[in-house]
Amino acid sequence: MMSPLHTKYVCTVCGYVYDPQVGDPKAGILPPMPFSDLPEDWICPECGVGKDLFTLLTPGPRVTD
Amino acid sequence: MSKPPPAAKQEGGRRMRCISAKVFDIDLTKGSIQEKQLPKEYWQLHLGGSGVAARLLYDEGTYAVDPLGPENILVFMNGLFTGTPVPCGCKMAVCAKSPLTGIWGEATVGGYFGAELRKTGYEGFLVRGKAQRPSYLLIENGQVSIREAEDLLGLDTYKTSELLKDRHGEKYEVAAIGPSGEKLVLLAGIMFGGSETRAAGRTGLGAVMGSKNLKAVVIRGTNPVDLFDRPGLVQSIQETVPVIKANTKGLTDFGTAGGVMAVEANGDLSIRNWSLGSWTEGAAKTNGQKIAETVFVSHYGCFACPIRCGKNVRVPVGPFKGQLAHGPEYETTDGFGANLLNEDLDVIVAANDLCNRYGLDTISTSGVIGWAMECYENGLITKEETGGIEITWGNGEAILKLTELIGKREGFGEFLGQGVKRAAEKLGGLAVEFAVHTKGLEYAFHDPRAFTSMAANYATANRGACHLEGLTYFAEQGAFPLSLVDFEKEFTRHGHENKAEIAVIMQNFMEAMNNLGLCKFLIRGKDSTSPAIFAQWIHQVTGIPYSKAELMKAGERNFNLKRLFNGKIGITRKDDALPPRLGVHDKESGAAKGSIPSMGKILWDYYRIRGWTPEGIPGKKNCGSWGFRKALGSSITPEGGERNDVPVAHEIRLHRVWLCL
Repeated sequence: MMSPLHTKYVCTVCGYVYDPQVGDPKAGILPPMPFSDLPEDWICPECGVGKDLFTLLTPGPRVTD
Repeated sequence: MSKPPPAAKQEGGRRMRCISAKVFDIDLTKGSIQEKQLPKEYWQLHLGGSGVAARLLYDEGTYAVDPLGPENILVFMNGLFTGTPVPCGCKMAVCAKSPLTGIWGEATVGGYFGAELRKTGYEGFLVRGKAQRPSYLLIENGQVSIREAEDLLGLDTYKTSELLKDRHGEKYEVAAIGPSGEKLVLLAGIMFGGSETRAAGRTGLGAVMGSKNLKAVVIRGTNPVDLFDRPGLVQSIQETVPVIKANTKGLTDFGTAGGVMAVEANGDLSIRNWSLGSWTEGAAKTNGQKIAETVFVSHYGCFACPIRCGKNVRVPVGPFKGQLAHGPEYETTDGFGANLLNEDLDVIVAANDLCNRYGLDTISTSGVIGWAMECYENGLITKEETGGIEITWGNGEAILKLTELIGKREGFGEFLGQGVKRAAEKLGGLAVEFAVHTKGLEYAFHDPRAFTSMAANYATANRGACHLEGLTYFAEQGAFPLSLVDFEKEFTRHGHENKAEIAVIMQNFMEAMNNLGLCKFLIRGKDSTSPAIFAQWIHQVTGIPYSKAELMKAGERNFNLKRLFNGKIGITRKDDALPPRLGVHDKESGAAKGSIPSMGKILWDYYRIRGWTPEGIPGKKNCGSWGFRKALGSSITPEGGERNDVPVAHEIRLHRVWLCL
């Protein structure tokens, strides 16, 4: 299981991906910041919808050479 | 008897959530700000946006006023879904009596301003009167103040927005007019979002704002949005969004301008002021795909938008070369491209940027330039009169210069800035034949000869030649299945059979979408975004059970209400017409070759379906069925056809003397 600090979430409206290792510096969210610790009034920096429109990003199968 | 929905029962039946029904009533003459509580029933009857605005302006009687006088009222109003998580619920309406057309004026706009307004806890605001000094409004939740704007005068919309965000904070949203609005240019719109421009462009509402000495509105809200059934709505959105995305990939990749080549292939493009039928090579050089290859910088989307059709670009030529700007939309790309026989994409991008900076409507601006080029070609306008500018077809330098002059209301630009109808009437003769407008509004760039249901729509649209009031070319091409609005009859693109019915149904549906605050591209979601789904979302947002039939009825009600507003000004069948270029002349090539809409037949059908008199006046019986009196004891009556209690619409007291050639 991935740790919260490495778990990405995706905005189901616009497709923006929240990465805890990147944060959202324009909104004052500095990394590392797990999605679950984001303030409740945090909004998607791309389309403005709330946290409840985000879902866990399921990583695809790992491809190896 | 069926059980009431559990959610409605829990709410005691009819308490409306999300919608506060509160507005600010701001009088700039008096410097007064009042909070008004409107009846919540307005949102059940009219859904919000321009529907509620029409109700307010009809009751205020602003059909009788001088559009540029202090008695005109400028209304900013959110749609019912604006600022909620409903996908594409980003649009708000700006409405007033139009100074360009002298009739009902409205423009809708996306971006983030409406979402911010939702978070203030207010549905909108009315601006009346005229400030003694240049001013701007600052709205912060429930607080409104009128601020000094002397230092903003003359600034373009980007600079105005930047300066106000520096002053108040990055999270504030700004709506502003540019120099054209300040100088009462009749083609002026109101621009939102600075360089990531979204425009309330049409019908000259920037001039109304300028006439009130109002340079900008700055807004910030921090209140949560109260939804009746948030989990249910979120689940529905998550089911819907993948379908919308799958059906709008072209818009995501290339923006609305990505459609230029397809539109040309359909014979739907305006070429050389609507006089030519095909322009295949030119269309291949001036489109969204070429923008993506050349000047594209990044994608942009409005609030809660899964499509993200906006494109940020770097301006390649002109006075703002090298700067970031919003890329041209489809309408602008045709207007400054094919419409002017201009194959230079760089010029289109720069002209779009100039319009956004000066605060001009790109459709009307490029439309009037196309008209002027045809007049110049025919010797009706001379080089002396243009101030030495050779306004020949495809002359990029002239296009940029004329756009700038219109924006500044200087030189020959002052003449063009009054719009094609007034300018043509001043020149007379052939110039009137070349003028492409209905009710004084320049045509959007979809040809009614290509999809003849658009002829019914353009002729009857309440704000003049507007494509969005019906959007029937979407439906005729199958981009929106007409079965979703219960239309199953046969039709052909160029014939007249059943076209009036398509126009009526789509106008009612598009009106409802407009009032809800939805972007029209949402209908690309096909059966995942039908009227039935929108009705379900109304329930999930407000707690008020709503049906597909009620939704369509609300659209019909609002469309007719605007017609009644126009009826008070004397609008009848005589005004429901195509211009000669589109109604008499056919094209000699392309997919719409030989097509002329049968307007007599189409309009006869249209009035019959609408329940209007043969003169185009809403009937008394229908007025009852729209529910005005029954529900609210309204003052609204179908007396539009009575010869006016208002002076003739076009006797507008212009505040400056126009240049007469």
